[in-house]
Amino acid sequence: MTGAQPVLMDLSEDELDTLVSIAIRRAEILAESQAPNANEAWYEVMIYEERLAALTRPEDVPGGIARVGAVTAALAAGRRDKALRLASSYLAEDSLSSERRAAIQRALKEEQIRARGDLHERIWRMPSLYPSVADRIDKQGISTDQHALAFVDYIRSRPRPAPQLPSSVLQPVRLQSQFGPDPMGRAH
Amino acid sequence: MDHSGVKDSAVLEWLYQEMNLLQVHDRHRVTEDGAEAVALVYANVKAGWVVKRRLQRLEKADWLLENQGHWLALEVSGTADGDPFTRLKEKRSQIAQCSLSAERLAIVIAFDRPSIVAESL
Repeated sequence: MTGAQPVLMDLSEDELDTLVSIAIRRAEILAESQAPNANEAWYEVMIYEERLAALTRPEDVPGGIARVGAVTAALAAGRRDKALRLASSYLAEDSLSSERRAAIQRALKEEQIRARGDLHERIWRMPSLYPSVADRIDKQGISTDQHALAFVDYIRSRPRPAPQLPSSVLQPVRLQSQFGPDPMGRAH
Repeated sequence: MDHSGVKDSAVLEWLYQEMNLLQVHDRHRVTEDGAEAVALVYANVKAGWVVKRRLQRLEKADWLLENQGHWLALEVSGTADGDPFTRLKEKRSQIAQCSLSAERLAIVIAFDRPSIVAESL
């Protein structure tokens, strides 16, 4: 068991079942409404699922659910590295059923597909930000994920020029009280 | 009640709420939460199932219930109006995808009739 908060160590499986049930509901509602703190809510789910996984056996139904749940909650929380570490550790358990293994692998694969979709979207938004790269995309034709990833690496490796602000923005601003001259004679 | 074609009836009581108060809440969520409450009570009264925990969506079921070492995956839906059997068909096909080593049950609570329609897989 790694990453568990000290207070969780004292909670029973029943108590954690209650907490994870509440947390899942909250996370799903926040995710549905695209609330900015949905990731934090999924992180909380991940913490409970991970602790439940530590308390249960992989071959039992609740144990299998907690293991898959920890991985999927980590992915939903945007913690891909953590999800991969958890998946790796659970998949190394001999007694985990083939169905649960498949569920973990399916979750990782679905997340990868979703991430690629996001990446493609970002690539096609780039022309306005990176005209020269857009030219190269047009000339070379980006059609595969591999090309897309290569271009992202290329773009990230390039130093970005400092933004050029209009000179009017850089003029010192003279503060002017809306209540007229300062009665104490202080300069604004 | 209609459970896999077997018809029955029961008395269900709940505390009266002012409609003005209820209208402050999201209608969809109130229906969903109410349906879950009724469905979980139904599963317990009908066959002694006890709630273990809520499931994440990828499991294709809402709840895991336990009864003397046996497991039940439960999928619940609620309707304020409309045909509950059409909804039950959707929920049935959803829970058919649940891959847990558990019995499976889909329940739809129709509040306008009111009725409970269920199907075990």
